[in-house]
Amino acid sequence: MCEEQREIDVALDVALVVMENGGSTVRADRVLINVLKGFGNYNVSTLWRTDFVAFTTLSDGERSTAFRQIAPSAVNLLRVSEATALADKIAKGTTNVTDAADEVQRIKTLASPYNLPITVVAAAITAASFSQFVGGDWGGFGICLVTGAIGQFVRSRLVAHKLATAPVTLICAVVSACIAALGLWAHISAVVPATLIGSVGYMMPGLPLVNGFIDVGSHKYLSPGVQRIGSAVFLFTLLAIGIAIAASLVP
Amino acid sequence: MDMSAILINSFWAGLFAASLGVVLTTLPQTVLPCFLCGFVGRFVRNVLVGYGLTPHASVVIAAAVCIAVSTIVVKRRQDQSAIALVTGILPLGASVALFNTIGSTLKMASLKGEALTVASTQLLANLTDVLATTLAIVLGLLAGYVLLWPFKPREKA
Repeated sequence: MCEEQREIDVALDVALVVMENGGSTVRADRVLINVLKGFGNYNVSTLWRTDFVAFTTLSDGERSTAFRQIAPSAVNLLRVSEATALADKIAKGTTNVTDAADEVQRIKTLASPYNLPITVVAAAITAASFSQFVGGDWGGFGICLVTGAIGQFVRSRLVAHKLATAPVTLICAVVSACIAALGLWAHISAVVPATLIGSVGYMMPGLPLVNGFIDVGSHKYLSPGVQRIGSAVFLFTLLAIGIAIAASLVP
Repeated sequence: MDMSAILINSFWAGLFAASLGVVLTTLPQTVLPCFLCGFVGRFVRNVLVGYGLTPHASVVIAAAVCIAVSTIVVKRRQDQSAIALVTGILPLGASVALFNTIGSTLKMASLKGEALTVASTQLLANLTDVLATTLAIVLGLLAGYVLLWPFKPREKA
C-alpha cells in the first residue's frame, strides 16, 4: 500500500470514529481535514452521508473516487473527544501515520466512562426530573424513577444484542410507559400527561437532533443534517406511540 | 412571581440536563456544565415569563443565554460544549405539546363529528406551540452565536 493511501485510510478511520460514535458531520469532516493537513495531504475531497462517505483523491493528475461505509451510530462521546484530540495532535505534526493508526485502534476499544449501574441511575433521574419540570407530582416522580431505571436496563440489554435503534426505542417506550400506566392505574400519581411523558424522558433523541441542526446550520452538510433531524422526529414519533399505547390503558 | 417555585423548577431542568448528559456518555467534567445550562436556561425563561414576557420571546432569550453559558463554561472542547448546549435547551422545548401533537395525530383517524372538530382544534393549537417554540429556540441559538462571534477564538490557518 502506498504511503498516501495509508494516510487517507488513517484520516478516514479517525473521522469515522467521530461519525459512528455520536459526533456531527461538521466535526467528522474537520477531523479528516486536520489529519490530512498534518500528513501534508491536501488532495482529498469528500461527500458525507449518514451511512457512507465518498472521497475523491487526486494522484498523478488522475482522480479516483471510493466509498467507505459508516456503521450505524452508537453513542460514545469519549471516543469522539479522543478522536478530535488525536486529529489536533496530528495537525500539529506530533504524530506519524503508524502511531496514529495504533491510536485509532485504541480509541475504538474505549468503553463509555459510565458503567451500567451509573447509566441506569442517570436514566432514572432523567425521567423523574423531566416529569417534575413539566408539572408532575411526587407520585409521578417515583413512578418515573422506576420506569427510567427499568427502561434503561432493558435498553442496554437490547443494544448489547445488536438490535437497531428504532425497535429498541419502541420496545423501551412501550415498557416504560406501560409501567407508568400501571402506577397511574394504582393512583400513585394524579398527573397523567407529565407522568407518561416523563417515563420516556430518558430516551429523548437529543443527540441526533442537535447534530442535525449543527449540520444544517453549517450549510455545507444539509443532506446528513436533514437525515439526522428526520431520524430524531421518527424516534419522537415512536416514543409518542409508546405513550399513546400506555395512555389507552389508563382509566 | 414565586422565586422559590422558579428555582425548584430550574433545579429539575438542570438535573434533567446533567443526567441526560451522563446517559449520552458525555465526559465527567462536562456534567456540571450540562447542569448549569439546563438550570440557567429554564431559570431565565421562567423569570422572563414571570415579568410578563410571552413564553416564546422568553425562550429566544433563554436559548441565547444557554449558548453563552455552554461556550463560557466548556472552554476549548466544542464537541462537549455542544452536548452541554443540547441537554440545556431540551428543557426549553414544548415537549408536552409535541407528544400531544403526535398522540392526537394517531387518534384522529378514529374520531368523528364533534369529537373530531375538538381534536382538530387542539391538534392545531399544539402544533402551533411546537413550531413557535422550536423556531424561538433556533432564533435564540442564532442570536447567541452572532452575539458571541467576536469573542470566539479563531483557529490558526
